[in-house]
Amino acid sequence: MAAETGTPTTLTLKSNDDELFSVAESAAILSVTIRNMVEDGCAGGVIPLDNVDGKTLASVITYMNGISAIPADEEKKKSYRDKFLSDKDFETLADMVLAANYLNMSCLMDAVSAKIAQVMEKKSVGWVRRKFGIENDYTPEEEAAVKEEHKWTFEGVETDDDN
Amino acid sequence: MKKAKGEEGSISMDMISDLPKDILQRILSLLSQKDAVRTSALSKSWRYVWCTRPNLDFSDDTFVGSVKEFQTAVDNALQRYRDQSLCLEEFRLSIWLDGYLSRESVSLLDKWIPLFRNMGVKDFRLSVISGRQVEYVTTLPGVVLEAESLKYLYVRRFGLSPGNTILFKRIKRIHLDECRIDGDMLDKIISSCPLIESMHLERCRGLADVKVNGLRNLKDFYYEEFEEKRHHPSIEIDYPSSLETVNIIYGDMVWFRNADFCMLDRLYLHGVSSSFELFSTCEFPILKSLFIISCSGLEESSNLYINAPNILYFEYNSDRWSTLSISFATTSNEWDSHVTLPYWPSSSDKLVSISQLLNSLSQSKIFLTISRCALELPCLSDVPYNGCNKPVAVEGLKLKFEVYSFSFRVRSIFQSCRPRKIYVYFVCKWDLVYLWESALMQGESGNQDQLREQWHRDLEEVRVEIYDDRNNGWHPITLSSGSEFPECREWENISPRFSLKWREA
Repeated sequence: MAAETGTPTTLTLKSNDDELFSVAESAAILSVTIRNMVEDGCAGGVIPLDNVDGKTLASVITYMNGISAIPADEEKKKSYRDKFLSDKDFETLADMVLAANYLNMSCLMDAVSAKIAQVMEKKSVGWVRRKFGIENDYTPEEEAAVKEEHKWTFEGVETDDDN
Repeated sequence: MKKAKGEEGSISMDMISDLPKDILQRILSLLSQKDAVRTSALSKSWRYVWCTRPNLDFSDDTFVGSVKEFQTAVDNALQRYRDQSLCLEEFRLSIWLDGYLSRESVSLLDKWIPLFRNMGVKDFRLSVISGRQVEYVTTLPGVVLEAESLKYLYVRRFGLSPGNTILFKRIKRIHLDECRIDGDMLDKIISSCPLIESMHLERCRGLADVKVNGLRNLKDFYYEEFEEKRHHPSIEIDYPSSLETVNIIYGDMVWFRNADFCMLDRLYLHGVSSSFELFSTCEFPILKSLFIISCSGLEESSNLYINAPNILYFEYNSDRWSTLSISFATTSNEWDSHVTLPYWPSSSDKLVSISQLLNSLSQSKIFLTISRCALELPCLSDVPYNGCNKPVAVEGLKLKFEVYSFSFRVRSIFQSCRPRKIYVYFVCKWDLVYLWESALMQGESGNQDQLREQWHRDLEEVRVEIYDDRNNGWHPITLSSGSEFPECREWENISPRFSLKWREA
């Protein structure tokens, strides 16, 4: 361990498409999943992460390194997260949220969930469907019934062009 | 992932519907009840996702329906969570009770609160608002005070009965508005709830003195007395280092010698009648905004020292005349001070004290507002004009009295300050012409009064500007004696200002 040897310990992570990544242990243990593996002594060789692809893992590691370099200052961490997520498209966000869930990284999970929720805020059903590519499998009658049931939620909604 | 038929022939991925249900619920838990429920119309797989999110929010004031329908909706939702043993972590409830229905609706709290107590709610936020007259408030049900999971409580127009036990020991924000509450009850809340971060006591009745001790996490404190003229209660806070904002309206603040307000960002004092003597010994290392409005406690002081090196905004408003100078412990000149004085005086000693006050703030950008002007004209021969009260640069001077009175006071005003902008109110076209000709431009023609000569020599240029709504900006108009006066639309609605350019001393 880092504390014993005085040199930072590096872990090797393997994505499900067999890409290898080196990352400082101190950053990687932001993931509770990885931390548990390290504590259980499984970190000797390569840590396989079967549910994360290379592209997403690279992004998560960038985040791990970035956020762990910031000292305990919630404001600064928050602004780093905001900046980190600002240029991510929805496909990446969905991959990130799955990875954060699998890796058990609550801060990333919360930030990505908040980002996705923010997109849906005050938006019409039609807008959200288009934005996320959700196929409407309701029949017109079924859809009308659902809308009638929760009528009050459809009033005063932005971008209300086609719902 | 599922492919969806996109619009305009493109194929787009459904990136969200296939996420695991607990992730979707987590996302929906961040939305308002309205936004969350609306997702039921997205597609079949979304139909019931919102039903099981770990939070319920019935604080949405956009809920459409009668009080009865609202109650039924809350009832059904709680029932569903209980029947299906769903996890409910957060519950927000906001109920507005009108005079007639209040008894029945309040009794619903007796039913609901024990219900979700057993469901493991960790974060309960409650607003209870009564429409009753403040004289006829009913007592808040004891069950509210016993709700351990309460994190936020807003109560308007209820009585808090001292007999109840307080079990919401983890509450963070408590806001009591027009409530009847006695001092013992407040002491009990304060001693039972050490985690309070925000405490608002707004126009409550029954409080004698307020003692806030032992709240080590208190960030925001707000106190407002319900009646201006009553004897003010004393407000004693043991100044925890966590304090960020303090607002006191008609209360007697108790200051402690050398208190360090190390996190205080904003301090608003209105109608504080206690002495400011110890205030000057306090430290405000990061204070950015300070308001001292109509504080009679300052009347005895002649100099107020404020140890706030990082001040950005200072507002001082006085109803009565005082001879106060104010000094800030700052080396910065990037801050504004907004001073409102009750009237422009006529006597020379008062004119001197205006000069002293302005001089003491001359490090800042000064904006001066004068509400009225004294009836008598200033007797100029009495006014000393020397180096110790030389005119102070003022960014903006607002005159809330008739322009006609202003024109007689131009000299005494310019002796104390050199405004870059003068804003005048209640002006009509002819007032403006009069002001222009009689006051500001007169120096050139005849009447070589020594004092007028003094300011007129320093005045390089005067322009009249009118605010243009269409461009959201001020634009100059030409206004010179004898020339054609511009025909503007509705003169009554126009606020002109004078823009003055002074020669550097």
